Amino acid sequence: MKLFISKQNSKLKKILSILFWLVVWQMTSQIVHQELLISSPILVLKTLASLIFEISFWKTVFYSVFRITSGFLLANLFGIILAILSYRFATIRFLLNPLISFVKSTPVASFVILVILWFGSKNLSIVISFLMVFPIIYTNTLQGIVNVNQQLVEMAKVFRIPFLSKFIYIYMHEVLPFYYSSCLIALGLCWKSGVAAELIGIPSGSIGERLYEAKIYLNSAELFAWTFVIILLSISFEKLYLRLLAYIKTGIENSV
Amino acid sequence: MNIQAIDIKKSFGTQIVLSNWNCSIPENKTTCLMGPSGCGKTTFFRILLGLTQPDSGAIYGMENQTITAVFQENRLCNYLNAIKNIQLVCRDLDISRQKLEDIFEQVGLDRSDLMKPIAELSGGMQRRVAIVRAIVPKSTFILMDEPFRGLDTENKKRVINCIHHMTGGKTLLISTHDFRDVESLNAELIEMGS
Repeated sequence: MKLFISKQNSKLKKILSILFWLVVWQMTSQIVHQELLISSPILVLKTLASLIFEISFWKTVFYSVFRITSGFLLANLFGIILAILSYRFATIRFLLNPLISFVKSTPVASFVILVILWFGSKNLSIVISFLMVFPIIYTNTLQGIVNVNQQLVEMAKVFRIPFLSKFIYIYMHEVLPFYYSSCLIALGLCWKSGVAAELIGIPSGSIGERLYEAKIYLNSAELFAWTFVIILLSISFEKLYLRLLAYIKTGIENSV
Repeated sequence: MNIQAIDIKKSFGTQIVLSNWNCSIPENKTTCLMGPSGCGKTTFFRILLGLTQPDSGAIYGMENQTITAVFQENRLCNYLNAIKNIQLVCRDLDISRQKLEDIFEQVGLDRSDLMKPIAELSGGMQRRVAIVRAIVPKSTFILMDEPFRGLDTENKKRVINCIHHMTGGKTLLISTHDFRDVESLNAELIEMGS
């Protein structure tokens, strides 16, 4: 009962804090009194309401969601596989180290320009979100594998625990917290970098292009509306992915 | 066939841990390995388990052995409960849950303890789970490195009874510092020098 009340309380606090900032936003827009500089939340909501009835809106959303999430998932796939290989083969680790440092410290803008030059802008957000997410997933997963309890690994060897069980109950369970924390960072980053890349490369039919158009036509309300859509997509994808990870963790703990 | 250790040498850096160590572990019997701390008991166990390679010497009679062990540390999956820890090491074992619960009861762990994750059990309880994990699976050779550490007299008695009951006909090697364990286990004795 106490827990239920405290959960209700925290939800209420969350809603109240959002309402507070909406009021601040509304008041600021009224004080500034220039829709061009800062649109009111009511106008943004109206713009958004009109946008969602356009087919082009959903096509644009699908275009960017597909590419950014593809980049994220590919980075996960490669990051995990290469982390396992790096743990197993020191040569791979040594070869990858400078590459990871290079990708980590190079500005997104430089990559965007290079990718446009090499591959064009159509799949730009896939490559950029991949490049931003890959080093985080790779580094944390490798760190997780390195930290796996070696005493349990030895126990598994002595008791001849099959590979799959060893992988799930010893390695996966120990690496998951590291992977989870890397996802917390990477999930937000892939959206930020992906949309930023689209804004520079302006691939046709992307959210970045719609933001660019809003800027060109000084359509502040649409700019805010699209920003709201990006935030919503980013949070939804993050919640969905993290819930999936939590589900996997619970699955491991409840099954043998 | 007895398990024979012949001229085992092992050193870590400049520290010699085992120097020309010879011993014979009788088949299908319980043997206690006694010696002062640091004399190389755990290193010898690790060599028998195949976890450490000796610098020289050989072990004979290990070819067809199926080994289980109680390590010096419990080495249990802390997030799984006791039953699941056992199932993890012997998934193909034809043993009912009821039988497992009976075995745990013999060593003083009741049903409510078995449902808790290992991390929530006391050190002594965890030790008993580690011991049960070594004696339940099908094996021919069981190694126990100081298995009674952290157990009170009553629980130690229970565990020894359970070992007697469950390991008949298997080769057991148990390291201990307490001479009374040799008697209560009705075991042969191998002494290691410092």
